[in-house]
Amino acid sequence: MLRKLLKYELLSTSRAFCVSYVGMLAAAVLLRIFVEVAYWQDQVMPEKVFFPLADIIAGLSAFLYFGMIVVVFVITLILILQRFYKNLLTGEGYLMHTLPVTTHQLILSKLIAAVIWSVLSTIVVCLSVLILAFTPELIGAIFVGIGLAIQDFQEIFHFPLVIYGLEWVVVLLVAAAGSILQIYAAIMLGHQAPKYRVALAVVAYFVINMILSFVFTFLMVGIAFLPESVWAALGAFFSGMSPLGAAQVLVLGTLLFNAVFVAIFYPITAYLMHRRLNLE
Amino acid sequence: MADLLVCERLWKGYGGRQVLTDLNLNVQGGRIVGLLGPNGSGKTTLMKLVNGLLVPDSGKILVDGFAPGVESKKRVSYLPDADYLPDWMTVDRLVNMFRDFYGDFDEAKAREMLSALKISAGDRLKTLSKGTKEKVRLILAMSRKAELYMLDEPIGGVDPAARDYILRTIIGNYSENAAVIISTHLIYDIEQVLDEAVFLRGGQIMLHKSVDAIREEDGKSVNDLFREVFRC
Repeated sequence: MLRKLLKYELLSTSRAFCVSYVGMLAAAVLLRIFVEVAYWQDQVMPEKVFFPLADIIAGLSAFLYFGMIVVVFVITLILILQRFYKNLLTGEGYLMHTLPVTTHQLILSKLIAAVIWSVLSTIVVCLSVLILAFTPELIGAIFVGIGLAIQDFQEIFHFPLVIYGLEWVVVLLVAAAGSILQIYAAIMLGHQAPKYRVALAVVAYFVINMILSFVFTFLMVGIAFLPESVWAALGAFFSGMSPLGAAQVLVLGTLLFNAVFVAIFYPITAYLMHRRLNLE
Repeated sequence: MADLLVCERLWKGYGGRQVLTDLNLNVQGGRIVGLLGPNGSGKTTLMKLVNGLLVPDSGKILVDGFAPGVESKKRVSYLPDADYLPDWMTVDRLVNMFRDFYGDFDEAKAREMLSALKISAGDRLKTLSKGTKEKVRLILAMSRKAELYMLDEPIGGVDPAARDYILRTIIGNYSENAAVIISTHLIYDIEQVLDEAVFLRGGQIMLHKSVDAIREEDGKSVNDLFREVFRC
């Protein structure tokens, strides 16, 4: 069932994303072309005083390019919001919540699709940078660089860089899920009110952020007041550690930090949707 | 016949008022039951509760022995009084979606009914007229071989000819041992298809009688009895 839900999720948003991704990449190609032309013109006629047309066009397409980056991220955010709110909490909710699926499956299908789109959007933007910077030598240089990095990493840490990289990928996915779940929780909190649900969801989001910053600051300050013995123990623990150990502690620590967000916001979202749903 | 729907001592309040008070209702299979009451009497709330869209404050709901959840949703075909199908989908995609999620969905029947109405599978829902959309929704709901059909105001807002079509479709398509609950305030049109009438007022069941009994014992049509009971 989750697979089917996910299929319909991706289906419903794929057109919007494909169009914006194609637009993004096209803007990158365009910018690259115009920059090359302007550069070539600069070489060939360095004394163009009256005719900076190529420069102007290049400038405009740079504007377009950066605009497209913003567009891609804005569309990603809007679609994540809309798919959750519109599909689960407005008229369509009558369909979704009477399908023979669990609340968890509904939330997970939205969450997984949202993470997929977030990752894809980031990849497409990175690809566009590659288009801008592309030279035939670049690809070679990239491969050589990666090869060296893998070697060096293996020497220092006695551990494959690829695996370590994958660990960070997992951390990033959990971090993405945490941020998205914070949005979902805010939407569900706003849904509790009889009116102005969207506005209250926005308020809820900012209130949650404020609470989080407050707690974070409190913890940071609190750490400074830890007793000497704790610091000594931590010092001993870290100095006795291998470089790999330290690197893994870093990954694990970041993973746990982000997992806490998931652990807080998922239950809030699920509980409110399961027990406090109130479709108009 | 076993009770397909059991509602026991249901209480539900929200927005500061008590919508359902100690409501008890049993519906058997093979019956078409009218859930009748004025606006605000709790009909839609009751339907939402049975479908798991609301959680009761207290009380029990059993659909074919199952509390509202995945198992009950497999057995209930719900037609809400709302624009609940994704507008951007084509009719074809919607049929596929129902087939994907509901094991009891009769795809052939649905497509046959749609083409009989000359509704093209490639049409996007948002391009259809309101009346046609209602028919698409009804066809999808009635093409399921469910145990319990719950139709919330299925004939509101459509012309008389469409109403006839809808009523004929309901009669002609529900599985024999299933129960159909139709909530409406357009009693005059619905009366002809009902086996039983349930009058709901102020969140309580005032009357639950077979239509025949109403006609014989009270000597009135359901519509007339309703007007009498609910006179303002």
